[in-house]
Amino acid sequence: MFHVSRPRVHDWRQTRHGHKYQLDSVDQWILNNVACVDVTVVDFAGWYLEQFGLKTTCLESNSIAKLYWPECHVEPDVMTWRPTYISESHPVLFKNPWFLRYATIDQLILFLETWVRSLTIISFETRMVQYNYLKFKLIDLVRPRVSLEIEEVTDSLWKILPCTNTK
Amino acid sequence: MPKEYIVKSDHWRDQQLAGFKSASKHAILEQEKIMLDFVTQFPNVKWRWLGNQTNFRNICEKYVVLDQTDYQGVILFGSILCDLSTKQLVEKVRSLTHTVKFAYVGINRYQLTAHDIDILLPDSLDESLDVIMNYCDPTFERLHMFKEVDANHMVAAHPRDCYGLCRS
Repeated sequence: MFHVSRPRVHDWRQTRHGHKYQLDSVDQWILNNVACVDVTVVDFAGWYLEQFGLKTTCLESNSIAKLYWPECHVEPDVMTWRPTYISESHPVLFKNPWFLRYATIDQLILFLETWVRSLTIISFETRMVQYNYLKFKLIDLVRPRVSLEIEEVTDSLWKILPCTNTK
Repeated sequence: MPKEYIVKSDHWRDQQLAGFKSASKHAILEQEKIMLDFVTQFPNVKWRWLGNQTNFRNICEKYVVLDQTDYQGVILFGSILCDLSTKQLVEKVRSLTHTVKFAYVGINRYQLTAHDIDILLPDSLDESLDVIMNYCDPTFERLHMFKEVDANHMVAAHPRDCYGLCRS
């Protein structure tokens, strides 16, 4: 599934022939706003970010990814499982995670609680989570239920940090 | 035998069928079956096709009579109902169904852009769609719940909330 996060599969395929990948607006935002060079990229064939100066630790849910990036780690259940070898200080990036498509709010919250240990960037189509987007904003439903600092950069881009308030 | 309609794009059907082992392009998907089950209840009705021009149209012609000019029912789903606000959806559904006795309407719940009718929606999306369709015409009845469609293929599914209209 990882190729679906590419805006144009053709562009992505060309990277196998040495072409530089054409960045989308989320990539641009990441490169402009994530200061740390070491990042964890989860299930979006994110090794292309190495071409732009980042050092990636790649997690993929399907072993086919090994054909393209042998160093990647294969984890079939990334939604509910945060491997212990993943840094708890480096930023973690998710682009169009397939498991949030049709996820319930409870599943989304469990995912956030599992994964957010450091700066976490999630690009996803919020309305594809199962809630009434005609009546509510997803962030308003999630915020009261988690101890996380969630910033809505755009409708489809969340910047999340662990809560630093200690009472 | 009806003449085969020229298929413009079967990308979505192809993707769906690819998820089923050994499925042919003539296979009928679960949510398509919901539509067929509804329209075939009325064997004497001619239907105007306002769905996507996929191979499914060819399949349907084996079960019901499709006629774009002389019809008593409409089959309405797909791109014609994409990227609409609730007000636009209501206007479109009303304008396309007000002259017929029978209608099948399939809405992709994730293709609505905003709610801009002055009615309060319930908290759940299921109930909200029911309210909106009831606002189009109180005769509309839901044919199934979203969660029952393509349950094993939710990731690739093209979710559709289906409603049937039968004016006596």
